[in-house]
Amino acid sequence: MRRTLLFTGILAAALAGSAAITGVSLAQSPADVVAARQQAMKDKSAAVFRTMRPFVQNGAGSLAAVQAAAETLASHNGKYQALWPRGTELGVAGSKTRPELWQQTDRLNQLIADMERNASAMAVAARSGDAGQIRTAFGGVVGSCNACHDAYQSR
Amino acid sequence: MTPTRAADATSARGTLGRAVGAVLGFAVAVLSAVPAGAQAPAGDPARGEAVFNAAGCYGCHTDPVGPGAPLSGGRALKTPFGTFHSPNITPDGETGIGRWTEAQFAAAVRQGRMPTGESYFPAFPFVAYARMTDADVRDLFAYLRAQPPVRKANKPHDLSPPFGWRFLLPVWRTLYFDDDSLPPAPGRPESWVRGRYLVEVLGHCAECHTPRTWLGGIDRSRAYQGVGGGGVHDGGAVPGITQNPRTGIGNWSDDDILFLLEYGMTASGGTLGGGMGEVVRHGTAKMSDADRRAIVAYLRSLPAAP
Repeated sequence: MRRTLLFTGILAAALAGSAAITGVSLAQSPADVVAARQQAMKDKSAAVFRTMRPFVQNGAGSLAAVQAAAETLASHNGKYQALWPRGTELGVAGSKTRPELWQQTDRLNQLIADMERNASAMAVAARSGDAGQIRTAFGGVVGSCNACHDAYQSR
Repeated sequence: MTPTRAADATSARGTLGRAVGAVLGFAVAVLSAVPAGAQAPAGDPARGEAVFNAAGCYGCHTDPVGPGAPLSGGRALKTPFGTFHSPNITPDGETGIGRWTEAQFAAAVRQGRMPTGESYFPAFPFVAYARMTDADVRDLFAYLRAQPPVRKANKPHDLSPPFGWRFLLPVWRTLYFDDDSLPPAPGRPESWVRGRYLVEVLGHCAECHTPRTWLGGIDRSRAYQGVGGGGVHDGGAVPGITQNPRTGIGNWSDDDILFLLEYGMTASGGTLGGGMGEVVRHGTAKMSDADRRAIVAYLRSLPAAP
């Protein structure tokens, strides 16, 4: 009995770890997936627009906060694909994603690759503490946000 | 002559021959690329590029759907009056503006006159460009003439009657076109004056942000109040940009506006609708910070819409 409980516990821990990495688990409903990705978007939006933006524009806030925000943003790398499974398009559980996203695999993959590269560059720039590097990297990040939202977010 | 010197001399003659050939070839290529009758523009193309960006030429004169070569026209502009197709403004001698003189270019930009003397439809914002400075017109012409020529015939407009009747345009012009100078602005700082020029003339912001009359003229009594729907830009709504906090940008900080003009997103990460994303990408993002601040200074002075 104790062995069974231990095994179950290990399995549950492993599944939880897996879910944390991918952001969603296979057992999640479309509504859960949409909720998870909207939360992920809110986290990224706060990092980029509430923390990085005022720092880049007029030096408001602290470098430490920008570094933490950059790490938060980069921690989403590798998770984008799993957040947009089929069946979670516009009209499903408050989703704002236009169906073209699932029809343009190459374009989507490129946009995700660009975002991940820009997020990594932002983390490097933030660690350097160099204002010029941070400003340049920030432009890349915002460009990626804009490109994907412009392409696939319903207005 | 030693063999080495002979070899050097042969080599030198060969080099000289190749150089002369290259120069002649280049001259032939240049002469054949410049259409007969065209003169080298007197303006500064580097400065003209800044005018080109601020005036938003790229967006309307490049077809994003085709996609077409830059500035070769053919972009469909859907409006309540029908669909306009922008013309080719590359320096191609047959289908573009390669044979135009600077005077013809100035008449087109500031007076809305074709080289034939006919009027352009006001989808081309000559009402705003009418006050473009001589230097800016000259430099813009030099920049356009320095771009690669593209042979692509212009596509006719597809307009609903009576809006497609070009012979009515003189009437329209008497109602809505004037080329008076911008009024003096004593006491206004230099940045405000520059901002007014960028917003009212080069940027032609009123073309989209100000409602139009039923005849398609800009309704100055409702300047910059926004268009609720059925706007000239593909039928979409366009927000107001007066100081009204509800319908305009009265509760935006300077940083919010500057961020939008540089990055093409709102300060909270919202994307821009209609053509504004393009305006930023091809225009305001490429401006100097001083010019973006000048725009803010001028927008701040627009009275709040009622």
